[in-house]
Amino acid sequence: MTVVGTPIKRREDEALLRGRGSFVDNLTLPGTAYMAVVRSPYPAARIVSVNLDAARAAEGVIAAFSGADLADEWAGPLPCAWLVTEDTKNPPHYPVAIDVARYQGDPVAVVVAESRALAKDAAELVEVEYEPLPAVADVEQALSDGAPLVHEELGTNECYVWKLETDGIQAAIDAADVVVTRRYRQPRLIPNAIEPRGVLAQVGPTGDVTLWSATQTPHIQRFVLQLVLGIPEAKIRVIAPDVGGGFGSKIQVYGEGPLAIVLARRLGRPVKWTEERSENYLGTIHGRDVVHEVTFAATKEGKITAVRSEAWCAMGAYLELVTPGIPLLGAWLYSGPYEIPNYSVTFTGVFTNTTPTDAYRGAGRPEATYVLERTMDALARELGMDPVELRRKNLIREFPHTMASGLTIDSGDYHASLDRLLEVLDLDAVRAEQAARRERGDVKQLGVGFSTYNEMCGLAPSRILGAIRYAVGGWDSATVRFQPLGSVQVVVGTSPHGQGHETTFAQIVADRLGVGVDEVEVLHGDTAISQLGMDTYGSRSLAVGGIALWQATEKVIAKARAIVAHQLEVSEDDLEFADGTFRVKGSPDRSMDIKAAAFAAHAAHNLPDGMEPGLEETATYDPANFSWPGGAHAAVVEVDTETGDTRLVRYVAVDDVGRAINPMIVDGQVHGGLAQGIAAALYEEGVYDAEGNLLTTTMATYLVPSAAELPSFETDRTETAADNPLGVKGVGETGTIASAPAVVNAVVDALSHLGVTDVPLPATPERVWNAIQEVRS
Amino acid sequence: MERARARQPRKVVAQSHELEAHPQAVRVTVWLCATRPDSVWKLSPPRDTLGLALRGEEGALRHVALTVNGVRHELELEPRELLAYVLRERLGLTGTNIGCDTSSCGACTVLVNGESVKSCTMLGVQADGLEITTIEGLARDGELHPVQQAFHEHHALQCGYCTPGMVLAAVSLIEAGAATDEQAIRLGLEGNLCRCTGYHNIVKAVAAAAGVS
Repeated sequence: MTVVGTPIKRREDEALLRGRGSFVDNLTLPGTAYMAVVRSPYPAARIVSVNLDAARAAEGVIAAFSGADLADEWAGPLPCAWLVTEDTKNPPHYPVAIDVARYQGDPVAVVVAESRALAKDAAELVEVEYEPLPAVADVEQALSDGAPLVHEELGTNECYVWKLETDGIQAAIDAADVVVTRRYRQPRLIPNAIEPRGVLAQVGPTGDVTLWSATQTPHIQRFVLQLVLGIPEAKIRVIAPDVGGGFGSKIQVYGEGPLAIVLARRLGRPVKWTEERSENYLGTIHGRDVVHEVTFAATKEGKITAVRSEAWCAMGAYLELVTPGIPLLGAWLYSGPYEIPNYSVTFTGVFTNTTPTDAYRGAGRPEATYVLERTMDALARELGMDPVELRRKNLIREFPHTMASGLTIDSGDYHASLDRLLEVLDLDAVRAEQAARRERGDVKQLGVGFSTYNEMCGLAPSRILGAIRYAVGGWDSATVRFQPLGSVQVVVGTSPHGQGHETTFAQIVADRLGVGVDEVEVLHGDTAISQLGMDTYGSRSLAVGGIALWQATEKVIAKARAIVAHQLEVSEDDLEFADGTFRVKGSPDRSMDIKAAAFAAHAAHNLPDGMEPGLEETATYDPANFSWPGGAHAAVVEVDTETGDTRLVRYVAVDDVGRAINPMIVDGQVHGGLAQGIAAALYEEGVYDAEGNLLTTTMATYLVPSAAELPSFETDRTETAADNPLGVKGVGETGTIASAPAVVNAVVDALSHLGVTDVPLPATPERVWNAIQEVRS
Repeated sequence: MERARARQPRKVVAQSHELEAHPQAVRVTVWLCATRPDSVWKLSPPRDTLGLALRGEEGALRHVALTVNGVRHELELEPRELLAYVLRERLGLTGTNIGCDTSSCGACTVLVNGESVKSCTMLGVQADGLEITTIEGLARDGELHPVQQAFHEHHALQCGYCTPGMVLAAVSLIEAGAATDEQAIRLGLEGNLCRCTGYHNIVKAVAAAAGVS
């Protein structure tokens, strides 16, 4: 029975539904001490003195340290793995600030006590004398003359300038019939995984380290911990138990992990730290915060001839693990699914006195897709064309397609997705209803917005990563191991936090080996079990890790085939393998099943000469290309023209994510992605005031949408096979990448008859109302 | 100003017309209020949203008897201890997850005398004499509760962190007869945030468990 392609229920659910999740904060070791972090209330301040006397004297306090006290513990600063140019500025960043705090929330001291509450009590007794410094929070202001410098020693707030340009871009723009230039500001987004971060560190008597961490990246953590602590990776074990969502914000190696290890080593006790939500808003990375200026050039018939984008991207106060590289993940997507022959993209990284930015769902690709799809609508208005027709005219038709920017899209059928979208949407009916409301002069106007998109994920081909200066590779690994009695253990290098890898990966292996899906156990998230891996982010787990798993499975079959051929005294070529059984071609009664081969491999009584016992194989897979999902989305919104209140009434998504191993899980990934993109369009914005104070530090002020703000989604799929053995593409980020522009295009469309051409992000009632007033006055 | 405006409609919904249309929402609102009368704050003035920062003579331990998942517990509690932490740290019932410190996310929702309450909005001492059901106590004879089963059938959880609170909020909503259609379910669950599912499958699961289409 084949299980690939079927919506089998998740094996992950049972424990989580019964309240038996192993989230880090649920774990406690005998003798655990609790850490609380004291953070700077100032966006920029010199640390004059740190007085820990009162904290140290408080009930239950074991120890308290300032940044200076711990300065000798660090073998190196918290590293950035992606310095995108030779001269990218990377100022040192330590787990606890020593002389200067550079953003609100920068750690300045740490307290360890017998309980969480006592640690927090004592943290309030730490007296830090600050000398406030001028601060800057806005990317454009940070580049202006005389702006306060985030890192004075650098002499500038400019972190880097990175450019990708084809020859003749200016000539193409000059020669165009129509040129449209638009400016967009995409605000900060705060990831808000519902489980805040947390770590539990234990140091053994020989200096061996175990770190339980709410992380997406146990393998990367281990690597970076050696750099920061000087402890050999071989002595470090990182465990990512159940992890309550990440969305990119649990990729980074934050200071609290190494800090807990250092304290556990000094105190001889396990040390635990659990982030609070208000702390999460300040201390965990943010996403976006980019200003774009985009120019499209086109013929009067609507053929786009050039795209030029210039972007100013906030880094925050320090570079986190891949901060400077986030814009680059979108660098090849400013032409999206369209055939555009001339191309220019420039990014300027900018330091500001704010929480560092890094990967948030989509990472660089939502930014690119937003400005591209908004500008498509602007160009359509300029040309007097229907936005769907403009898209259709420019969509890539043939695959593989090499873009002007240099990368090759392996597969897709963007027209098929768009056709299917229009069918599900019933565009004519929506337009008719819109026209009727306009005719009647209804207070509540209807708008429909589109986004045809593609994206580049499945991070990533190691050679390309090397060429764009990423520090390590993008392969992944998997091990498939038959136990002697025929059950199968699978060990993967990816590290799920809600994506259902255990279920999906078991489906793949069960089908190929011809064993029951329940006979396959999937292990992950512990570097002592999974030695090789590059973890989970960038929609890579199936598109990269899944292929490694496929290859390991093939290697197991190959070895089993050799064993069976030896025992049946036939040549390997004479054997067919299907449904878990090797059969001799032409003599189907001569057969041996793979479980019998597994037992024979372990018994080792009769193996081919020189063959090692056991039936276990490991494979690594380094993709030759990125993964290129795509599709067509539409949003229908209702806008109250008197109050500006906007409700999303329909959302239709047609995606091509290649072959769906588990369609139920694929749909779930799309739903969650959509919600985050829709939230960016209508609700979410991390706001700093001019002095660098974060104003949105709770879920009451930062509007993570609830069920009441969202509709049910209409999802469908078209399918083209990716160029890999499973035909799969990434899916984790598609919804977030595609949805924000569709929604804002719909808001603008609802008001277009009034003359509105833009509404800033997020399209809150106030902004929508203001946009209406501007055109009315 | 804009932030406050944008958030307001949700709260207004919960407190005005929804009072009649969705009795469950009323109960949650009432409990929220009930945890913050003056008498409570005299025990632990609100200097800190978690109620953690205050010590001193008000902090004298108090004897509390409560029943959790059918088991009676006698505890000596600090007045400032939130029910959420009493469940997690005193009783080891770590299924009750904590996702925020402003009573916004609902991850720590439990049933108190059968009605859903965010256990971070209630002090442990207020639970004296009350019956609490946490996610660990919802299954019967090892069988998942119909709402838990519906979450499994409809893929209504991904990372699972919001799930215990979401399930218990849904149980309470259904038992109150307030899960009457999709919109009622969406409004009834507005106090529980999920970042993974976009709520699509949660709403489907709750509708299925409630027997509405």
